[in-house]
Amino acid sequence: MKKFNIIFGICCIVLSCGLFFACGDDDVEIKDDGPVIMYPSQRLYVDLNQAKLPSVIAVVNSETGLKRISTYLIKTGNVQVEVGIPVTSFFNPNSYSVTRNPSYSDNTTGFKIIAEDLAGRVKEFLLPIDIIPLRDAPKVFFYDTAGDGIETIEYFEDSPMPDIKVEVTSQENLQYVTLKQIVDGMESTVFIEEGQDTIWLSNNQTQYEFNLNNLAYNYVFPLGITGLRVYTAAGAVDKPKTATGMLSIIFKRAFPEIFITSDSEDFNGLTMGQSVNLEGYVKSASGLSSINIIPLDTLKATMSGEQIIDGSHAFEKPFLVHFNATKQQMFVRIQAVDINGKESNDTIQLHVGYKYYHLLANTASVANQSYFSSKYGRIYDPCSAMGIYKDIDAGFGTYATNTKVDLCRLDETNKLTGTCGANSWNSDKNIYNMTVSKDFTNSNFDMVTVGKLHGAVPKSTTDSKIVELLIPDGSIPYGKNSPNVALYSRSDGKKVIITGDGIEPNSSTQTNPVFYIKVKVEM
Amino acid sequence: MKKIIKHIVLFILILNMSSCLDLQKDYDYEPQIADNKVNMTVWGYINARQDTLGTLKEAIELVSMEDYYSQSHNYTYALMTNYAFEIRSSSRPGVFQSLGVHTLSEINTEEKKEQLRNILKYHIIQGCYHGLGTLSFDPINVISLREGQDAVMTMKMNNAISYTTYSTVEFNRMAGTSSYVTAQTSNIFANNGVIHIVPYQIIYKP
Repeated sequence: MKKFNIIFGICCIVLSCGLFFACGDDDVEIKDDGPVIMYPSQRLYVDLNQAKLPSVIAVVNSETGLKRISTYLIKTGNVQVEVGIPVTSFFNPNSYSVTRNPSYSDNTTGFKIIAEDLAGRVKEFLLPIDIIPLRDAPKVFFYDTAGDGIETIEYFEDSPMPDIKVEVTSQENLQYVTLKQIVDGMESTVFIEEGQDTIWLSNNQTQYEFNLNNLAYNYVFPLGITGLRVYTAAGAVDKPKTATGMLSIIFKRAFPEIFITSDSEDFNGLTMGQSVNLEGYVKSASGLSSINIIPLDTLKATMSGEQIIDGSHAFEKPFLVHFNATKQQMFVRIQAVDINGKESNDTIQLHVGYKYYHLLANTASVANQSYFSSKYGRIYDPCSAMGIYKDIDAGFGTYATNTKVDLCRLDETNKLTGTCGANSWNSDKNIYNMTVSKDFTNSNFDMVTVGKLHGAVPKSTTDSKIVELLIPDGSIPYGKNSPNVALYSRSDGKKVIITGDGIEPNSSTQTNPVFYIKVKVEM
Repeated sequence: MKKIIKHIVLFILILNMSSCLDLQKDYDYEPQIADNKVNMTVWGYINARQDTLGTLKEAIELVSMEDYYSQSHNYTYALMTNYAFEIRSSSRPGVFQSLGVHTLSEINTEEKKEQLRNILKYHIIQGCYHGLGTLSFDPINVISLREGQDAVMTMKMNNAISYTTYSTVEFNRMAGTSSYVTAQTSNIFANNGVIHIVPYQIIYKP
């Protein structure tokens, strides 16, 4: 038994010694000074404007063996944001390649790697990161000659191209600039430079400008243009920042405009041979070539005495001409021609030997009546007319039932009667020296002089008492003469011509209408 | 008679000698791993292989970078063959093409020389990377001696099913838009680093 105990004891000692030395084999053999972290560069530059941002690359070496590697993005204020999960398993325990694609932002300042080896030693390394923040998109400006920014221009056809500068600026390098015109809603390219529908820019150019009056192929705005658009892009090719600038164009046909400053009454009630002054001015966006003053005895037949004023390319030219009223029926045409041959006309009529009136009559007044005095060339309501009944020579009445405007000749024998507010003229009484003529239509009323009113002499005393001057059933709108013309002679023998000139807009066309009349009264 | 005796004696001698020879025994093939240790520095290896690396040697001498190939840091060297200098291609430009020259003699300005130095530095990687334990089939980023965040390089082992290229070392596989380069000879262990012979210039394209 003793022998057994001795042998057992020796075995235990040998076994424990073996176990002791066996444990000693698990100790980490330290071969270096700890993990070594290497970056390929001393700083990392990150341009957030680029499409592809750089990865953070590093290599961590450890001859002792790597145990754990963790990575962090450092932000302003030393805020650490862990990137990915820590690495604890290594294909090659002596070397590990770190590749991270963190989410960079304006406040990123660095990237830190913390590495621990099997001996428990920890090393960290901070890679500073310089961030280039996001830049603004390019901008497009339009400037006039005064250097003021503009968004809309008016352009008159055939006038010179406006001196407008287009400027494109960017914080980054510009890539291209394209100019498009919008005509009838469709875009098409305008060549800024000859042979180039797009200006490609290089060499980190951040500004580009051109002038609309200095484009390729002597570009001019086409008819119907509504705007110009400038398209541009800047920054990285694979992450461009685009912008569009718009200039609205109000395109105007540039016909000369004629303004007559003489009073229209200067041409009314003229005596034969009377000297007349015609004064006014003409404006032209393109510049005037000439102003022609042409007397006409009708609207077509010219008379002698045409006067021509040299326009001298002026944008505004006054005129003052003198001529004599040599015919009862006479017109004067002002004809303005600009340097592009565009012509405008305006025609005035001279009323020689008679007075012309264009008056508004209102049958919606008292008793649905309205009165006319050729002596005064005015319309009167019934109450006013009562006071001057001797000078009232015509009255207008209307009835809802017959939807007509009647004209009744009034004189001493058919004078205003009754009281104000009641029916004041009697259509049953005989009316003389009056007739209705359908010889004169709307178009020729203006052409007829009182001296040529052959139809003015009544064929019989019962020709007409009342003239249906207007039939306001909607068929004679505003601006249209009645087909009926009332002709009569006043007690002093002077002839009077009256025609309706349409219903006033917004007035009832059937009940108590408000309407216009044209009148010529022999002088 | 004498002749006959001579012939008989000769025949007996041949017969006796041939009877001494035994039949050849079977021979068992015992495979051995080729020794890829060259027992010289990388610079010594370059000098010893001037048939393939002659242009590289002259380029190194031109820019006085011999020390980079003689140091004792155990770097990884991608040594470019003569062809890698001379090839002219849009996708795989040679060194001369990258520098805008046709011969080494045209590299005569300091600017050109600095460009050549950068190319050579890019082909020296910090650390020992080879296909015998440190590289896998997944690309890893490595750091070359050319500093800069654009000096990115990846390395991996080729996993193509091909007995000529399987397990050879590849550079810049999956590195941006780079054309990867497969080493034509991999894993040569010099005294001061690992050598991979590459037939093309390694270029990183983001």
